Order: sequence, then structure tokens, then C-alpha cells
Amino acid sequence: MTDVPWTGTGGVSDTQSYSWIILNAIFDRLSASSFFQNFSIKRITRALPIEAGYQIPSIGIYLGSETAVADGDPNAGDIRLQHTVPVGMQIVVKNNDPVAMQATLDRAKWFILNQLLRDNTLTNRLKTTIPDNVRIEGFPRLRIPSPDWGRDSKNETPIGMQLIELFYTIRSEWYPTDFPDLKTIVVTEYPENPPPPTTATGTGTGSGTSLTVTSVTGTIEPGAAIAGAGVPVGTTIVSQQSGTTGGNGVYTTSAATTSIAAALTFQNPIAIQHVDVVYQFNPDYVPIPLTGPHP
Amino acid sequence: MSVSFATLLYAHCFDMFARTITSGPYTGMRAIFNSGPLTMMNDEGVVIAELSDQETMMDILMQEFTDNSFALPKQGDVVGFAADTDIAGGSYEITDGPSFNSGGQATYYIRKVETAAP
Repeated sequence: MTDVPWTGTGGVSDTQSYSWIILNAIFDRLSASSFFQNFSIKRITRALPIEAGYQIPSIGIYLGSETAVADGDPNAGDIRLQHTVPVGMQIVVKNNDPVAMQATLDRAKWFILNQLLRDNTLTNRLKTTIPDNVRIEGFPRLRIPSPDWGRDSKNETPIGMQLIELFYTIRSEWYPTDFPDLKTIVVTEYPENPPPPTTATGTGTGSGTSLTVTSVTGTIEPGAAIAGAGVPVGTTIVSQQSGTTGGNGVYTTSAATTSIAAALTFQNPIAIQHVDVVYQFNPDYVPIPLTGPHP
Repeated sequence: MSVSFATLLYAHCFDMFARTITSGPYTGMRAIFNSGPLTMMNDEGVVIAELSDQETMMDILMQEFTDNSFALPKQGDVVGFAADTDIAGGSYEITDGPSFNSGGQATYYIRKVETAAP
């Protein structure tokens, strides 16, 4: 099998396009309405001509040429499209009285606009009764040509025809079906300008790697660099053995010191704060394309 | 000497092909029916289905109407024809005409008188 794998919802949109679903929704509403329910012909395809001799009155609801443009940047994220779909509605009636016939066509036109554009089950952008909750985003255009009376009024049947072209907008998003090579992205963020180190001072007396500090001003932190008489360069505080935390007490140093009541300076390490952000694709996630105009 | 197409040609054609008008203001006169297919395409750029119909015309000899004190038929007049073998009868309304040729024949476009629907 060479099909691209994807899993739908089990609804009609797994196999039929949104525009076809909406076309049927419009057709179902109009064909069952009081105005059109008794029409001789109600069609959703224009594959066959209307026979004026015995198929009038008729209503046809037809799909026009669907176009789509990128919904956002075309090169970022999933593929998203904004579709514009024209629906052509063709109403054909007959009457030897031209004025009465035009009045009928006008009623038909007004009826259709009221039925479609006031129908919350069709036009609501959040919840509709259209299968799979396919949603119409909007109606960017409406075109209603002047009524037509046949070919230069030469028809044997006294016909009148009203055309309505209603454009609607839908959106689609096409998720990729698989990401086999990428599951996790880890990003560590550091502040651009680290804060200045804090310092502490005190009087210290060393004995081996034990350093007794008194008269502490500030806070001594583990890792602090020690400077003063009797302290080898590069010596740091490893831990505190006793005393007040960060204050007077006995500390363990990284090297032996020989200080005797020496004035010492402790430069604490810079507290660089970083944030780990992990982006992970759920390996168990099954993408669901074609299941709703916009997730 | 001029040639009278009405007398020498059309009159014989009408003898052969004309049908008698059986109702309306021209009852008793005769006319030749001519009908052919007509298809309406999409002229408006809108998505519509084609519509198939007939284009039906009626020819009369002007001299016959004059001789019988009839004015020439005009738009809106209704002419009725009885069914003739396999040709349906019915009432037709004149929608366009007359248009004339140079031989005394007038042609009209006609359409059926139908019950309005809806």
C-alpha cells in the first residue's frame, strides 16, 4: 500500500471534502423548504440539462470553482489553507405573465438569502449541524445577476431564471502524518547579562582545610572565592561545618589555609539562572487531518 | 412581369404544411409551425446547468389575413392549434414578430401558454 497513513474521525469528512459537505447542507435545507419542496426538479449536480418542457420549476445547487490561498505564512508550521467556494443556485420557473414571473423569482431570491444567511445551524462558527461540525468561516461575496428570460425570449416555454452565486470561506489544516526523526527538542536559556557577584567579609583563622570565620558581614556561600593573608590563590569555600548559615562559623575550604585572625574577603559565585524548555512530540500521537475546518 | 412568391410559391407550401388556427382571435386562419432545439448556456459566468428547450415559430401569409379582414397578429396574441396526428396542439402566445421576408410571409416566435409554476 502506498497511501499516506492518516486517521480520521469516522465521519463523512474522512472521505468527502468540506465543500461537498457544505453543498449538501445547503441543498438539504433548500430542497426541503416550503418554497422549493414541490419543485419538479431539485439537483445538486449540473451534469444533465434541465428540460424546459417537463422539468420546471427547478432548483439547482451547484459547486463552482474552488480556490484556496495560504492561511498565514505558507512556509511556517502545518500547511493551512483558506478556501473560497462559490455555490451557484439556479431557480427556473415558468409564467406567461412576465411581471408575475419576475416577482416569483424575486421571492425565491429573498427566500434563499433569508434561509441560508439566518440559519444558525449553518452559519454558526462554533457549532453547526453540518456533519463533522464543518464550519463556514464567512461569506465574502454574493452575486445576483439580473433574471434571465431564455435565449433572447425565443424559448417555447415561458421561463424565467434567477441565478445566485454565494461565496463562502472555509479553512483547512493538513497535519503531517509522521515525524520519525524528531521526537524531542531541549532548549536551555541563560540570561544575556549575568548579575554581579555578591561578597562577604570576615576574620578568619585556618587550620588545614577548616577555616573559622568571625565578624562576618554579608553572606558566605558555598563556592565563594577566598582572598586574604594565608589563603592560597584559587581557594574556595566547599561547605559550612558549623555556625550560622552563611555567617560566623567553621567552613571547609578547597585548600589548606594558614590565616591567623586575617581579614578575608569572600566573593560568592554568580548565580546564573537558566531555564530548561523541553519540546516533545508525543510519539503516541496520531495526527488527524481532514477532520474539521480548523482544529 | 413580377413574380408573386405568395401566390406561386407560399400558397402551395401552406396548402401542404399549414395547420388551422382553432382558437383565439385568428380562428380559422392557417399557419405553418416550425420548431427546433434551443439550449441555454451559461451567459453570466455563473455556475448553472444548461437548459434545453424548443424554439418555435409560426409563419402566416399576410395576404390571407388581409383578405379575411384580420389585422396582423402582434405580441401577446394567443393562437390555438388542435393536435394533428403526432403533433401536439395547444395555445401559444406570440412573443416576437412579425418579421417579414420579401415574399408576403410573416414569421412570429411563439411560446406555450402554460400554467404558472410555482
